[in-house]
Amino acid sequence: FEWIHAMPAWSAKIGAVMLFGGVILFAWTDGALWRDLRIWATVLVAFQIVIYVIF
Amino acid sequence: MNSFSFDAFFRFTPADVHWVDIGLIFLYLAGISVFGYLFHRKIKNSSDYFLAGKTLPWWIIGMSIIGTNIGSNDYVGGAGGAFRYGIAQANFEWIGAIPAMVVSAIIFIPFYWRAGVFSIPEYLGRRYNQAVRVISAVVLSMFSVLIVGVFLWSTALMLNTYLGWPIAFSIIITAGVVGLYTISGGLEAVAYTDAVQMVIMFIGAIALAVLGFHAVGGVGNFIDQVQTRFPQHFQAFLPSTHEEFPWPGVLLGLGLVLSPAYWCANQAILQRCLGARTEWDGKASMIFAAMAKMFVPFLIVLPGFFALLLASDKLNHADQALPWIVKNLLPVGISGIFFVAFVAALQSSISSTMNSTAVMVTRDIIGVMAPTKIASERELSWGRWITFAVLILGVFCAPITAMFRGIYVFVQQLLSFFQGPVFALILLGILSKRVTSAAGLWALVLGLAMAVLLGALKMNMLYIAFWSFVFSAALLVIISRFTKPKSDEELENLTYSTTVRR
Repeated sequence: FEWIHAMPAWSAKIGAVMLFGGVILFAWTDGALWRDLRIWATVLVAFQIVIYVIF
Repeated sequence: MNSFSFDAFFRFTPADVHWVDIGLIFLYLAGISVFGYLFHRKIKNSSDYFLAGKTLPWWIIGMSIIGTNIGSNDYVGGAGGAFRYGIAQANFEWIGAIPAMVVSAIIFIPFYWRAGVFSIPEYLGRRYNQAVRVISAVVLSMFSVLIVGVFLWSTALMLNTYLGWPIAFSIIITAGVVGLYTISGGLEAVAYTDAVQMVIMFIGAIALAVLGFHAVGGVGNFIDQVQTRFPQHFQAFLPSTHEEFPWPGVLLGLGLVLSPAYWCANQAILQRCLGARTEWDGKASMIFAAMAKMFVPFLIVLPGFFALLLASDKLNHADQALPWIVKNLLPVGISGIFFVAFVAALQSSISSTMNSTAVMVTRDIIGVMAPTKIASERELSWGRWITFAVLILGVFCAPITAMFRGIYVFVQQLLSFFQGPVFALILLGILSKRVTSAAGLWALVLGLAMAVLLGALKMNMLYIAFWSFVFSAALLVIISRFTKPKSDEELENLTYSTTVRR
């Protein structure tokens, strides 16, 4: 697995965004709109992606 | 080995603490005891005791999850980790929590809640067989008793350092307060006191953050100083050769295995979700907790950054970062609130661990081993006595855990050996109805053996979790091809395909 160690640390950011994106895509696959937990999860994950793009 | 003097253990020593701070501590200890005890009148049977009668709303469960999740190790270790490694420490709260909490909410909690189980081992027992249930319950219960001991010792050490109370007296006071409401009020008392404790924790941490930013000259100055003096501290992912947090380990071990294993299969965390009033409340509680969790790094990692900017040349050890900040930055009253927040963090972790351990011992070990089914009222009595026994064992374990430096880390490492195989069983068990009972038992036992072997080879904990998970998952798939699966009727409400497409 030397090829993993050869990859730069910024490739972890791509991995992190893929992990967050994968979770939210999977989620999307009374009846009030605010009770749709997929919307809240999307907001949450969007914040996380912004954080990992910054740091 | 650590050594503690006879004086520290048994004698009161004068402490330089303002009467306002002491008053706040007594007010908290008395208030939380009375508040928690009030719930004892609602307990009629074992479902009331272990699942709060399935009446908990999403917002109480969400706050309780965070209260349970944040312990003393997060406060001291989180600040110390940030002091040494910077924002990379926050990975445990972000990539090491948020994705798994979302998955737990939308996939795992609905199946646990719908199956009507009291514990995660009970779910494993219904999905696979009773051997898997008992093995997982025994291993998790043993770890839990040790963890109660570690938490009791940490609280006593804080009370001794801050107030001058003897350690033995502090352990008994802590056990008495937590034991009173946990044994009498069950999960409902634990969840509501957790919620109060979470609010106190956030108030204390926000106060510290405001004072910290003021001390370093504002938020803009804080960012400028860190970027100029410690630029590597603003890197979330560290090189793959890093000894503590190599990025492949963080991504694969923490993000893909350890974190989902904790948030989707940890009994102490999920116990309150099983007591939700509806399935939707159970799911929403975890999303709400994830919202709060996103801000936790700003509360427990920031003190490490403040110590870095204000005292990087004065501290000999990273774990001194938080005590230095509390001693040098917080005025009278605020330091009392922060100390109460610290004790609250520990107490919420102790009560949740006690309650969840009592469930596993009562229902998943004694209940399975007993020749006849235990009646609900008798189970309630058993539950209370076992909660008391867990507390007493924790009290006796507390001084023992202190004799070995880093035992908490050691216990967590042992637990990580177990989490990879268990998570493989739960994940594949929910996603596929073809996974068989025999495959579950063999994957658990051999996966655990594999993890111990990798541990003996001194592999990084994050990689052990990943490879033991992969090994167990592969065994589940291979052995299932040659053994007989359960029928759809037996798997009703236990797997995705036998629930969603009905």
